[in-house]
Amino acid sequence: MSESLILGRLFRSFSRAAVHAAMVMIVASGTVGCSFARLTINDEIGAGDVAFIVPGHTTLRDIIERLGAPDEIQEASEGTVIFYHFLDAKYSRVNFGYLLRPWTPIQPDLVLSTTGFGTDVFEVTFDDEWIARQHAFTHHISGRSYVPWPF
Amino acid sequence: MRRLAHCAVAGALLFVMGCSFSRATLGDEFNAGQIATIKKGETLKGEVVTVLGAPDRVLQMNGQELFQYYRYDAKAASLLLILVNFTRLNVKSDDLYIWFNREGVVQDVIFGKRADKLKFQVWPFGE
Repeated sequence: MSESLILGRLFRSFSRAAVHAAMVMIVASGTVGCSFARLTINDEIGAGDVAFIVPGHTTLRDIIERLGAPDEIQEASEGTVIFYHFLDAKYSRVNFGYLLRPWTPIQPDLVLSTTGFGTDVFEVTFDDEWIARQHAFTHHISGRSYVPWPF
Repeated sequence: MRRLAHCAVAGALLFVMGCSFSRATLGDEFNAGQIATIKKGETLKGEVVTVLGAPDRVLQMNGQELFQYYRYDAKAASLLLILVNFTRLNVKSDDLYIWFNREGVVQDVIFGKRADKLKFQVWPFGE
């Protein structure tokens, strides 16, 4: 098994543990009327944060000075790739049945909830001289919000 | 005025069912003094291992060897009210990369420390 796979699994397993912990807290908070929860892993990197990168000019050192050390480095067939992982997940839940509990012999539940996962990876490819060749977000989601309306 | 403030705090506490703070870490914290002893063009691979221990990863990049050390830190906080719960979990990582030349001498050291900015936050809105 390659080193990158091992690190990838480790990062994913730690992230998974963090997500599980968040889910336990969310479930534990399900006994009340409303819940708002958020999980963030590292700082979010936006398009404005990487606008300084100019393919063919920007070096690895320039990028590290602005964005910090990457989470992962891999050797690819045409050079080296660095990865910045980050995540911002938002969860909201409303139980309208909770309001009726004082007046009914049963405990009715009418739960509406949504979860938005903005899991992203920012990648930069370098040549043998550690000059950036290209960069991209693998999966950039914007506009996540706490609206517990799933329809 | 003070009595009013006390009443407001007491009233707010009536709605608080509890709160929780949790922390999880993966790996040992980096010691800045140890990292400072690693000198470019001087320190050997064996000396790095003696100071920092075995690396978490060893990579081959452009014909050079690269050691990576990492650490993760997570902080979670919850405020449990009668009608509403607020929860936030933040995770950050520290990464140390050390490049070696073909002779096994340190060529470059890159240290990214993000976990020191990690905070316990309850309020899930905003930044």
